[in-house]
Amino acid sequence: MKDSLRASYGWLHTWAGVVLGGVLFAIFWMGTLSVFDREIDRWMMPDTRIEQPAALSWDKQVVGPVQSLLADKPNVAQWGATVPSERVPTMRVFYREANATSSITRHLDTAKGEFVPDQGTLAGTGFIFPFHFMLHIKWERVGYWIVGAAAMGMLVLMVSGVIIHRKIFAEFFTFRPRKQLRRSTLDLHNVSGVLGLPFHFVMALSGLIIFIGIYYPQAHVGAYGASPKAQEQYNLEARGAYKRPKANAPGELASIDAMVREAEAQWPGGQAFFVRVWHPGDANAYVEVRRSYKHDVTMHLDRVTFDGTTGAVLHRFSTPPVGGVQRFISGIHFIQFEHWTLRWLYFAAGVLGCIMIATGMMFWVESRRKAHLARQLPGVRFVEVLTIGSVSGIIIATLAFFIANKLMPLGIEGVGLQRDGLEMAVFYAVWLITFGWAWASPRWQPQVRAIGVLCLVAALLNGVTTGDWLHLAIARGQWGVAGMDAMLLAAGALALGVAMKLAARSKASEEPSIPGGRGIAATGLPQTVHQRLP
Amino acid sequence: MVLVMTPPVFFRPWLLVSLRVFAAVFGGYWLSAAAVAWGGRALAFVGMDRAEAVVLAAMLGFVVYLLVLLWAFAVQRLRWVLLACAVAPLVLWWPLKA
Repeated sequence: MKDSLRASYGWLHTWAGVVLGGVLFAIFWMGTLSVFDREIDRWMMPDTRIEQPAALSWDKQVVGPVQSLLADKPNVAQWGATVPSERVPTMRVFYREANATSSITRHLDTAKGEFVPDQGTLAGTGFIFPFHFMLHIKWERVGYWIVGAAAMGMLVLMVSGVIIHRKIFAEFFTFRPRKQLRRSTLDLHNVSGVLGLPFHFVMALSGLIIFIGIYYPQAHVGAYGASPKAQEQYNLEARGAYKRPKANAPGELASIDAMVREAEAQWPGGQAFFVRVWHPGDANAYVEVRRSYKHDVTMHLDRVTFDGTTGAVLHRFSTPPVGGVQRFISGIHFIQFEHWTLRWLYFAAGVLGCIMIATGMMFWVESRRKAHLARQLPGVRFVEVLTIGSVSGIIIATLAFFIANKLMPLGIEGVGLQRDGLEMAVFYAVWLITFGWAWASPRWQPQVRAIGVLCLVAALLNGVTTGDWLHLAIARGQWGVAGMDAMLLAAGALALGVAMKLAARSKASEEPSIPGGRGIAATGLPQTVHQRLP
Repeated sequence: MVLVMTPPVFFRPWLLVSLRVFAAVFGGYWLSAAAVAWGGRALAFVGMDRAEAVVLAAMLGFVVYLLVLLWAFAVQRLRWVLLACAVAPLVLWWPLKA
């Protein structure tokens, strides 16, 4: 499109980066936190901090409490439950009423045989994790499409970013923190970008491949035809999604324990981890038993479907080879296997991605600041506010979400929202405020200082409201809670340190400058680089 | 007589760039989706399990889309982009919708 490929891709990288930078940072930030979504759940839902139960009987410990929970809800189309694990000591029970757009999750203490009081929060798995892939924009799945477009943009940015570099290997090892801000910002963008490139490429592509059914909803029309019946047949053959309609006559649920035993018998060494009852209470009820993948990367779809009233096998499904590849790629992204070292590495690589995106946007601003000021263009100010709001702003909003969780009593309602809705409202309101704050004062320092203070306040409030101070949580083996507090304290200290450094730097630049100390001559960038910038 | 040439309105640079971005992003997706549907059919035709063929084609669809996007911003002439991202998917979808 321009005279050379490098010039074309320089343009593409610059503008795709500016347009998508804000949404990409939000996705990366929430994705990085989602690595520890269950640990955030324990931190935000104090009543679920229980011991992991040893053994489990579905018939004796689960079916009774669930049936009494659903007694006054005749329209429930399905309910299901996931067995307790190291990261989630409760049994997670969900149900969905007919025509409802989303399902409701409750936590069952299987040792006591009763549900934990509603914690009134969507927490990590209900707010942060879905934010990562659909931004909580449900209408027409617009959120999924925005995230999908951003992921495609991310792939384009990575390829174009590699092509515009002359010395990609040397830049692996180049970071000059003491050079001028613009130069060190670019160095940091290059180092984090090149170092994280394989991980970020795999994450963006696998994130798309997870949702082939959403992003390519017409994929089957060539092989199966365009009718709804063809779609249903494809779902059954590709994913084993057995379905049958209601009989509209009452039926008794057969023993789930027997179904689980039968399913496990056909999976050598495999365990059932998830059971779902479709059309509960109906004569045509059917029960789906899914095989656990806690020791596999592949999130296979192996399942056996049973008749809910007789317990007879209706359908068996084991993941076929290509389907297994798709679920392997999904598993790389979802990290549902149990491995703490890898989990922390994912977290670190996610932080690296956040740094890459933030410094990319900062470089756009810094490299144009002088030229735009001279020509009185609004671009720099606009993008600077956008950058501060999307980077430090979303971090502040997330911390406000955590703090609201600790301050609001259970069962509170207001402005037409339940407690979980109020927590989300706090998140969005605070995020909006940070944009206004950045507009009034386009500087990083105050917002970084706010991050530091809010981190410490959040950790303090967890100790005050639940009594699980860091050392006590460690002593009790509550590693999720202890890890969250430790990260908050470490991040708080880091942010306050950075804020002090930024304050010192801006004070130093207000004093009479040394001639030639901060001009273009001192940047180490060749003159042509400035001229090339659009 | 001096002729002052003003380029017609549709040759304005911002319009050409917008057209290219629009064609690449939306038309490129449309083209990749058509390639997925046909790819699934072709793989099934040569003997692959139907469901497996569709899943494989859908996964490769993102790679096709990425290559189309990268090509659309590298190629000089806008007309090629429009041909590939607007005309081609239209032709490819026609028999599938029937």
